[in-house]
Amino acid sequence: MVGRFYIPVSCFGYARGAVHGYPVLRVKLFNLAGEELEVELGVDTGFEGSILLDRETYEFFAVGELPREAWRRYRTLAGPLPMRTARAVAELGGRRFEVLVETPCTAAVSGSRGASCSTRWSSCSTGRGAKPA
Amino acid sequence: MKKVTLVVKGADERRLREFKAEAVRRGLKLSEALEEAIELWLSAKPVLDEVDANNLAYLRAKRLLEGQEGRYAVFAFGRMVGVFESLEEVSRALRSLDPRPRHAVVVKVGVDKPGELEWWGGSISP
Repeated sequence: MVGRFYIPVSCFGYARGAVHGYPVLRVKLFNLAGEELEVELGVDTGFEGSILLDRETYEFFAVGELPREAWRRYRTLAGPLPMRTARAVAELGGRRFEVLVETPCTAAVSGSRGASCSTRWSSCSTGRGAKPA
Repeated sequence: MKKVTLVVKGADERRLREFKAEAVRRGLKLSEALEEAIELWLSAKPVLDEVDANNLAYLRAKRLLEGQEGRYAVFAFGRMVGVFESLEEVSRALRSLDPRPRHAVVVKVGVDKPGELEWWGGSISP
């Protein structure tokens, strides 16, 4: 029989929401010029992309932005939403990952921050399959 | 905040009339609408210019990037900085630029493509 043991390394902190609290990850992000920014990202926001940032925070990563033709679009209840997309490096659990950070093209949706709970992050927390950037 | 009186000569009458009407529609005083417009122009203009220039440089060089799949091409100040094997090399190249760019296009050739994803609601409930 083959199994896998999971050992908790640390617990998520919770941030206070308008109605309910939500789990947050504290992550160090680096822009492509090597400058560092520490942010708290809400987890499982329903955002399927990599890391969602507010407009002001995103500008820090504009030094590694993807060309316009590679920006992604998201299906939302209000219709498709185009997003600016930039490359960055995230440090979590002592490992570094190449990630994409995004922000809505329109300023109207600024103020959100979060990370999708993707396999990449779970790879990081279990320490398997992680590829240092 | 110190308030000053501003007199502007030679403004386009029709455009100014539209501006005043829009300020009224939004429930703003003319001075408040002007402050908003100035703030928007100052915050967006420099970034948009650099974004446009770097994207244009990328489009011009796109054909030259064929055969460079998996490498990182960097565009800043409206020109191609170079093609690099790793993000460390990209980082060194960006840091070596003087002045340091506020915006650069960095494309992983053959990898960065547009896509459509979803943004609905979270699944964790209390």
